[in-house]
Amino acid sequence: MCLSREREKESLSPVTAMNDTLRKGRVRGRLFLAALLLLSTAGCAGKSPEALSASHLEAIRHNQSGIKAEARGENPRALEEFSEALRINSSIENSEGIIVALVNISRVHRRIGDAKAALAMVSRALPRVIPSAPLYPEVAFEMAQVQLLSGDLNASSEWASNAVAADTGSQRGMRINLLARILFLKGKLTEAEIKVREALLLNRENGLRGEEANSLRTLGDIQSAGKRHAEAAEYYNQALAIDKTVGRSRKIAADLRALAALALLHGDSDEALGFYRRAFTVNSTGGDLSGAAEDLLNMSRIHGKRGEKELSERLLAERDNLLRNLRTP
Amino acid sequence: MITENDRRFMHLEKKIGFFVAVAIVGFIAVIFFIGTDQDLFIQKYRLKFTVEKGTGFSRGMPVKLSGFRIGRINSISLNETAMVDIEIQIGKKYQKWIKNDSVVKLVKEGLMGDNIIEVSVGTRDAEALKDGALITFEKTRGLEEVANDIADKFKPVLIEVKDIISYVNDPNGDIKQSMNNIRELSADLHSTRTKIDALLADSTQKVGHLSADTETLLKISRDKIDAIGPVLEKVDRSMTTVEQKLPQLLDKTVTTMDHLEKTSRNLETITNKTVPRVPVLLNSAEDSLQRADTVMDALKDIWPLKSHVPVPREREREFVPGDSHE
Repeated sequence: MCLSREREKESLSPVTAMNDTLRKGRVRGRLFLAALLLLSTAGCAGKSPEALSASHLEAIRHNQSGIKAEARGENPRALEEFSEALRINSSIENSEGIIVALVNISRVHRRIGDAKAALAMVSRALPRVIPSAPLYPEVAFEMAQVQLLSGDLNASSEWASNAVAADTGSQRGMRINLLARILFLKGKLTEAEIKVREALLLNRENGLRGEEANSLRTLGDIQSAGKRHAEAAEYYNQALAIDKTVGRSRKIAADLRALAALALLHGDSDEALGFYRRAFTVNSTGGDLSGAAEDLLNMSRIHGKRGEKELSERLLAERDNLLRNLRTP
Repeated sequence: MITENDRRFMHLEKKIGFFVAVAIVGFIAVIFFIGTDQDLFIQKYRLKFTVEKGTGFSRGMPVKLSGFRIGRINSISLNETAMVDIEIQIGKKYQKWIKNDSVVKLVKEGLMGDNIIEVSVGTRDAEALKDGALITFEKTRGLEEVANDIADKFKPVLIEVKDIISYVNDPNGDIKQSMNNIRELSADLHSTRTKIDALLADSTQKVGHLSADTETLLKISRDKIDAIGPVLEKVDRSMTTVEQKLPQLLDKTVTTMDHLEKTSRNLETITNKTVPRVPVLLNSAEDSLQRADTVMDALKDIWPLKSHVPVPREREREFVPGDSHE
């Protein structure tokens, strides 16, 4: 048999022999790569030492579902999801999860306008977090906003300052923006302007476009309060341009309303009406019916002042109709 | 010396005697008439009665029977019980009619006349009252009382009349309003009538035009009907064709329906077999998804993918996006 093989070898041509050698080489190479991959996978694979439990993951899933529901404007659904996340996190004593759920529930209540419920939730979150904890800035920021909604400007500015002091991350610009807005509302225009300019730089640096627009809007408000109307209009227009890019209807409407108020200060009621009309269209098509109703009320007032009684009453009737629709579930 | 030659003094004694006689006769006649008037020469008897009040009674007031004066009130006096005793004098000749069941009443002669005392005639069998006897006084209602009574009865009527008049005269009341409405309606009716007159005149004119139009329309219709004739003939021919082909068509339809029925039956059988398996399939799908989820979770923790998947801890700290200008 060996003899026959040798005869076969002898009978093969040199080209065939070379091809055979190359084929064998390729096979070996593939085998080597496969072994290397297997080794690397075996060495680096495996479960992470910080693997989360199913309950933990379930709580996270509910939290994320709540965030998505809130973004869609489904507030009752969002509250359900966050409450479920809170329940699961409580059942496994997951402190961070509890804090996040409480802050998120507070945020939804606050956006609905229920300051009392929001305060109850964020007050439950505060004792669970120390100022050096990574979650503290968010909790303090939420508390500041709840106090602002409740009308307590002093408490609000205190919590906003705490949030700013504790945050060194990318959200710092947002916290300073809030503080600047509270200072503006307290009538401390100079301090507010210093803060908001700092926030503007930080927000631009961190690419927070929405907060950049917020900074510009606050700057517009400060200029308007200082009767520097041209500068104010410039800031409002810049904010409007950014909000349009980001695509935030409520903020676009807010910019347009600010421009309308500025036009009224100039005594240009036609221009003001134009801005309010645009704000009304943005709000009504963007789903903010209460904002749209407010725009109609503003337009009605302008027509009323101009002596256009019929037009004014028609707009008021339209507003009443809109509010009725809003109350009807 | 005075002689009796003057004729004026002749028969003086006779003349004086005549005048004195005439004067005496005249005086006697006056006394007679007055006495007769005052019932001095007739025989009288007295009757008494008692009343609560003396109002309306007076001394000398006539007492009448059946409209004839038969006596007068002789005296009026207040007795011990603060009531009034009245005594009347009546001619003796009338005594036979005044019996113990007779009554006296204070009445007025006519509506505006003086007060008198009227005595009623007693019954035939009753005993006549004697001098000084008591006669029953029957109280009658005075004019004032009657008037008050009438006034009491009329007062509600008058109030109602007053209310009715006020209601009628009320400018905002139904009647005045109705009157105004009727007035307006009459005015409107007048204008309506004018309009109707105009409308009628106009209508007459239009009816004339309409009749002309109708005539034209009828003519056109007649032409059209004439034209429809051939069309109907065609329809008739088509119907004949349809009648011939319809049975075949119906046969085909019946066959198709049979096929459809069979298909439906097959579908039902398939559905009956499939439907019970749907929940099982869904459960299997759910299980598969859960398994896939587990595999995905495991894969996320494997080295090459691990760096591209967010760390759960970071996901846990996910908040509803904040906004400083809410």
